[in-house]
Amino acid sequence: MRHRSGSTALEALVAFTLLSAALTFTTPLVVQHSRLLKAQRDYRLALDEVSNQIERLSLLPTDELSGALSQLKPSELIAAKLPGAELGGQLDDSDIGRRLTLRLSWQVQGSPTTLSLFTWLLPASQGRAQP
Amino acid sequence: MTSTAQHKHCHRAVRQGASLVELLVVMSAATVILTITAALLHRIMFAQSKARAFIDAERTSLRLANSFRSDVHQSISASTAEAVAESNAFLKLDMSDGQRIEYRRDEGTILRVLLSGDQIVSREAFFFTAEIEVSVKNEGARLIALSISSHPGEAATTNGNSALPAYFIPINLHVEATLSRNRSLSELPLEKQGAT
Repeated sequence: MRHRSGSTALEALVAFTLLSAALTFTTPLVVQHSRLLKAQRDYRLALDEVSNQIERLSLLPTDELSGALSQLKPSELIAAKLPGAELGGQLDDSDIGRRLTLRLSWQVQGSPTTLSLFTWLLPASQGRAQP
Repeated sequence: MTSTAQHKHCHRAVRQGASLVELLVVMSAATVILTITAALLHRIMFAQSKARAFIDAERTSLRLANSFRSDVHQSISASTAEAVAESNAFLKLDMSDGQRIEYRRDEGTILRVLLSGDQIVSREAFFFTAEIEVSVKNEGARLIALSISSHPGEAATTNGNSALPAYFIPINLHVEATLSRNRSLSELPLEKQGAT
């Protein structure tokens, strides 16, 4: 049996093809990684926005709440940062006053994402809103 | 078989190594693949560094937002304008137990300092970049808004244009909180407090 050393060109090409395939699959992961970071930031901004709106609404008298809920709209920052941002609210009766629910929806890569927070609004005799 | 043919067959059987064409093909392929690999590695390392800076900024923003809301909810009064003149503090919050919380700025760092009289009880730092702009406003009688945004220093390039720093992470934080919001919770009956 003759002594064989080194690798043939065919073996090298096969190895390079496998490496190329690995690179091809890795590149989209880098892109997806950037999208995940942006989604993380968008979620934090949305959380801040809904919390801010709840703080504002909790200061209003009860009789002005319904009107304010119908006029809810995202802030300028959120309208600029979150594509297709829509803000909505709902007021329900609760055993400790009224329950206010706020929902913020926006588009993430074409699919809608919704964030909901709620708080309780006490009758005037018991103070204002509760966290 | 003649002796000449036997010699050629023997010579072909013991041939080792690669031809010049094979060598060039392999070297070209290796060059291309190694170039792509190096570029991808650089890209991945850059992404890793930027992700770390990004997560740090987001985590700090979230932590500051939570602290700010909690402090304002517990405080009974707040002062902004006169506090700026006295020290680096841009917000002072008076608590019901006599303690005071100050939010101070030291370049790119926001400091939350809890004081009892003139004694510092605790201190917490929130690290941002030095280019941040901080503002606190009273938006109504009880609503206090804290805004932090970043404006990066631009680096001049060789062609005269300017570009953002490679690792610049934009900060966008706007937090609004209501003064004394937690006080009314204590006015609830105990069984109702448990329900919340």
